[in-house]
Amino acid sequence: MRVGISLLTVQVIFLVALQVVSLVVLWTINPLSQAATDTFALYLSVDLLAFVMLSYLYRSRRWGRTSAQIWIALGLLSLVVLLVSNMLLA
Amino acid sequence: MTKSGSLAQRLAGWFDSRLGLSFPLLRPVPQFALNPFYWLGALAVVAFVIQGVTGVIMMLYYIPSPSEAYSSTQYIFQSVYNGRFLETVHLYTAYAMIMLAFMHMMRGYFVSVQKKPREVMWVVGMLMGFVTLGFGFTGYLLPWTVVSKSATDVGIGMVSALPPPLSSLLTFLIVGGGGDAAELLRFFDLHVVLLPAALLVLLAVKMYMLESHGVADPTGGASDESKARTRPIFPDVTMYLLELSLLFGAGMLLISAVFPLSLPPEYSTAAAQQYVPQPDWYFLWIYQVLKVSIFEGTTGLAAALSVITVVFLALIFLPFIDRGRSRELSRRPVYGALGLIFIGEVLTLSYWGYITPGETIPLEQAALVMGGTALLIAVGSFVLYRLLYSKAKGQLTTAPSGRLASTELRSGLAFAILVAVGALSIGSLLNGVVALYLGGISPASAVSVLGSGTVLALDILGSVYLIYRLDLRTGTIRRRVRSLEVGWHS
Repeated sequence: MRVGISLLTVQVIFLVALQVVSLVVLWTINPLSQAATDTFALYLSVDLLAFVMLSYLYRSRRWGRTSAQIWIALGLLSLVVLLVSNMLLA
Repeated sequence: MTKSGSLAQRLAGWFDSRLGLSFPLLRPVPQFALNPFYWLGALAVVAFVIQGVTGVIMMLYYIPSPSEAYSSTQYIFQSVYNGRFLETVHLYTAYAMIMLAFMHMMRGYFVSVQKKPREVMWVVGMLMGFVTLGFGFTGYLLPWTVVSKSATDVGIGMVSALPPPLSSLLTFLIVGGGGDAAELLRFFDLHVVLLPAALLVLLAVKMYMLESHGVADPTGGASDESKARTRPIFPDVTMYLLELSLLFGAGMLLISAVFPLSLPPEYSTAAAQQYVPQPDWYFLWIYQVLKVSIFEGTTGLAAALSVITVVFLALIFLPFIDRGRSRELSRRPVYGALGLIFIGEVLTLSYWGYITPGETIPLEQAALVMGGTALLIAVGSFVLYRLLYSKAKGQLTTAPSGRLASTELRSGLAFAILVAVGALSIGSLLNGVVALYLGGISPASAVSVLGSGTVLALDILGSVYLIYRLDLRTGTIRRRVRSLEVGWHS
């Protein structure tokens, strides 16, 4: 019997959590200033990219393929870049 | 349908086979079509949807009258939540839509999707392209800035040079009885009602025909096994398209956040006099043609518009001009070269127009730059074609799989870049020489001539080196030009 959770489950939990966080942030922003608008755009992009990755994971599994780790790595990297740039902007 | 049927039956058969009136909808999509290049048109539609959403929100605040258009746009920028962001996303997705439509058209041209039975689809697609340009033209005026109003006035001036029935019809449509108020209101109506409605109707027609004909096979043909590997529209293709669309949307959001728009000054006659009118980038190539000295005056303008109309008509009716059976580029070298020349001329003219706002272009200079670009690309295409497709005995064949090998693609890409850089540097060099001739020696013109001359020289060296490397494998040039044998090492 296997113990622990698979990499796929970790990825899905992480992406869903990221989506929830970004949605909460989006609702709390008052985007009248340029800085707030940038934050809004960044978190909305994070939300969309996380959804794209979830969809990709689902599609790969459905098509009986292993998800290409390069795309997963690139997606995670872009999410990190977006979040770090938001912190720098803030 | 047999040839022996009545004329009416044959006509009905022709329309049925072209318009797909008797085919089922929402057929599965072949696996080979799940590639971003097959979905450029779909992404243009996604851009249209984003524009629709952002446009409807802006429409809640915008007032289409000359006295309030600018202030209401300014209000959106400053006081509406995410207003500046909405405006920026709206503009950039419009740009993306035009760019995607152009790429979709050129991809279709190079892989010959316009051939039987997709002729009518191509014509409908071209009409959609014109409607997309119409969106750009009409939307540009709405903020009522000095930039947008001056550029639109240039466009309206061009309309008056068209033949009488067409010019009066278009003038009535876009200007009405005259005056700024009527003009702005009509542009607004066209932008938010007529053009979206026209695009939706054309899109529905095209989608129906796409469903009936299915996705075009790859140019090398598709095996029965490859055709049999399909994916259902839901959820597979829907998920795939959603991924592409959201990636595109995220890209647009980020670009809009990084490069936010700023609103130019409001239009007034005094402000317009201090500004050189210049259309937006997607009309620059046409504007540059109109600036050539031979096309000055009413007759010249009419002649220039006729030339441009012929180009557009040729594109619309391409399926009825390029009637060869083969879809492979290796069998259509002339059309391949013509397509590259078209892209090269559009890029060169656009860049040239961007760096020479308001300047009249001498005929000799225009002939040199446009002719030089065409000649360079034609020669480049010919060399590339021979290197890519010819075998030892000079027999033209395609790669066994019907697709180019990755090394050949890399070589082709390198050559295309060299040709593009060569064309731009020739244009820049000629510009510098003319500036030296007309204005005497100045540091700027000297740097321009030296810089572009150096780039051109490096470009030629690079091209020769690339041809040499390619020829090591095929030996075509060495065989044809015996005198070059000295010094060639294979």
